[in-house]
Amino acid sequence: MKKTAKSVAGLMAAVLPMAAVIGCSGGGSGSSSPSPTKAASSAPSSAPSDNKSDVYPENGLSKTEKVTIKWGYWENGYGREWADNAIKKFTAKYPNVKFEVTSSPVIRDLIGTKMAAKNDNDMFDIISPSFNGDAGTIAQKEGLFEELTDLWDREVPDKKGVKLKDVVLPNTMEYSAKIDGKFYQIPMGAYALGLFYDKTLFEKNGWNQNPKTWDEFKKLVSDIKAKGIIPITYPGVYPDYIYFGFRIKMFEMAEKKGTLDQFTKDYRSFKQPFYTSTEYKEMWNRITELGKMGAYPDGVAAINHTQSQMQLLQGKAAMAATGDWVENEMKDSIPDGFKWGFMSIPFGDSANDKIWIENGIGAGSMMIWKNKPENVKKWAKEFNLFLMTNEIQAFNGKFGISPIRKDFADDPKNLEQLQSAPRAVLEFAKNNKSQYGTTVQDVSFSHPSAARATKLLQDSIIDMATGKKDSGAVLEEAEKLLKEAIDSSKK
Amino acid sequence: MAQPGVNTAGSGGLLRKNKVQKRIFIFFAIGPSFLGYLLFTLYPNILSVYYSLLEWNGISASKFVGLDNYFYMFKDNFVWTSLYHNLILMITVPILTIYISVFLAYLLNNKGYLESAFYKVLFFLPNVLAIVVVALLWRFIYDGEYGMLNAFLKLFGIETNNFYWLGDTRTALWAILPVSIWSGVGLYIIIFMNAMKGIPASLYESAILDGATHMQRLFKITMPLINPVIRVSALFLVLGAFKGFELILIMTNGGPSGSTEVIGSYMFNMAFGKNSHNYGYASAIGMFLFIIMVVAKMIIDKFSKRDEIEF
Repeated sequence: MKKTAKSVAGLMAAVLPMAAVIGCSGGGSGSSSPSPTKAASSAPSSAPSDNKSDVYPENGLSKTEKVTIKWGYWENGYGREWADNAIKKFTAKYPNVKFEVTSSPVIRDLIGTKMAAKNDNDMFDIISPSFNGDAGTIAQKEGLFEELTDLWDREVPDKKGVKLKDVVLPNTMEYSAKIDGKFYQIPMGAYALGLFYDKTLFEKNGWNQNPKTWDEFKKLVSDIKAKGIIPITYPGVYPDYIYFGFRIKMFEMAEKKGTLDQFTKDYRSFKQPFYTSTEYKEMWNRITELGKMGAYPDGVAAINHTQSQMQLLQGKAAMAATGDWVENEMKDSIPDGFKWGFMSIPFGDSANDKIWIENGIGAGSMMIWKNKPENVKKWAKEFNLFLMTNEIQAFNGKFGISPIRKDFADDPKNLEQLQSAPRAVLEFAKNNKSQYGTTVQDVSFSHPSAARATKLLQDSIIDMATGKKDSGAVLEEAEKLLKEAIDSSKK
Repeated sequence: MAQPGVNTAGSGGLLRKNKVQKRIFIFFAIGPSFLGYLLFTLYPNILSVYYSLLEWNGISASKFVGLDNYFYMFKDNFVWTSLYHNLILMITVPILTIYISVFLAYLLNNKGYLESAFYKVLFFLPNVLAIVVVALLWRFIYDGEYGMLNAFLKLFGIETNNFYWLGDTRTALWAILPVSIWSGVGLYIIIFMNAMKGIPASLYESAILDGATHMQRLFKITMPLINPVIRVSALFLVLGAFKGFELILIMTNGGPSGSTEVIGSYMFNMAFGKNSHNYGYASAIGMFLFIIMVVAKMIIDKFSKRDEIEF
């Protein structure tokens, strides 16, 4: 075990400095560091009692005032155990606080309905992990959530005198979702997307586990295909999973062209040409190229999320386009001898080219409903901060949530708890000239043309991927629909 | 003239009292459900009419766009493709469900099988299963690798090469049909069996004496006599074919390539899709669907026989 911890510590040590130089991809709507607000520079001060023994010294909040936090929890691939553990630890430390958790895999629908009802009392106090999709963006833009920027300047509970912003991975603040430079959610974990595979199967067949160029990757696909195994599987019922393997490659190409900053800015804001940008079209050309080689499963349109991941576990598919939650999600079905591996598809033509990995620092990001009593919001913020302790980060790692504390690897015991799929991502990052990047966007449209553009692409993905449909024509049509939505939003 | 010994004032008061009591009874009998109808059906529907005139994502301030959503809808090819799929389901599902149900109900009623009660339960079983269970069950049946359908065809020497029935645009919509029919037949068998039980046995006895075959009895006696029930069933099935989309949402999510998208799933995804929150546009589609269903009802009423038969 110690040996494993040591090797992962090595990985982390290698990855963390690399993370420090990451940065050119992010930004979006304001990548500058948030300036500390008045509230941020000091601990919450509105303690209901003057008696110092009645307040917690670290945050100034009352020990006697009972607070109940309603949590709308999205139960996803990471499961619920980590959240239950965090509550248990937090309420043990602060016994006057309790939680009421409503958890569901489709909590987003419930939250959306509650938002539309505009009844603050009925709304959850905190929402997480990430009420994602564009509804979250719209709601943040509308100011429905509490701004959390000040949390970055708070001291982390397990490291005296060290501010949150100084203890997270260097690129964290840049990658975290923000609106107009303000943070409405503070990340407590990260996830990575790409191709996950079984190392044992690769070793048995002598396949290249680390293709460095596009040609090498194509050869890998051919080698796998030659063995009668599906090279890349994805759930065709939700076909945009295919993007998990490819989407970040647009940034990789832009960087190579020297247009990364402009591309990033345009991508985040849907600036046209969007679907017909060189990078978008080239991404699709590559997807189709692989499709014509027979890289994807027959009948993929009928395969759902679980089925596609089962194809991977059963060795019917060599790689699956998914996220690092896959291990936790499929933990009951992983066969003996299965060893998680990860790769990000290289789009370059030289072994020295950088390989980008899609990474989302936002797994578990928590948002606090603005129109709630002050004490509830303050305790919710404390809870948010508490999730950043290494003890919690380590426990969360058992369920696939990658830690984002840069001192996480200092304690080998923390590393022992990490699942092997996220470890495989770290290993890939270490062994390659890699770069993390995010594909978050900070604009959404309420005109139906934008939804139609998305649907047009969704409906066409499978046929475009196999070359049955001309991706160029579809992208042109989607671009026109997007234009309608943009024009409408300007009116 | 007042009858001796009868207190007219008293009887009038009694009548009035009875009337009041009757009204109170009616109020309490109908009131709660009517209130529920107003609150949970009529009010949201009227609200939807208003929403259909807005561009609204459910969160931001809404923008009044008049009839723009309706005009936009007529230009939206996804709407027409979805409606075309609905039309196919509307024509096939009710007709096949009714024919199969009538046929089986007739067999169970008239053949005197010992196991009739068991068959009744067997046929009704899909109706007690949650739609999610039905959908998942059939997903497995249609699966390319492990599916029962491919295995069954293999028994007869038909090699399908692990064909995914729900994964091909040519077969996906048609693969939905057996599921819809299978899950609906049981209920209508029960309905038709009960309707058939009301037909006097003497009619069948005389037909048998005249030498009528089972098919003649079914088409000349049974079906005409249960026609009002068939008409109502057809109405339910047609409206169900337009309204229902849960099965499709779970089985195919409208795919592949939109080949199983129906108007209900399109409307749902417009309002509650992962990256789509067009409540106004979805409401406009809902209103359009409402009009279609009213028209469908009128057409069924107009073209189905309304002969009232007494026996």
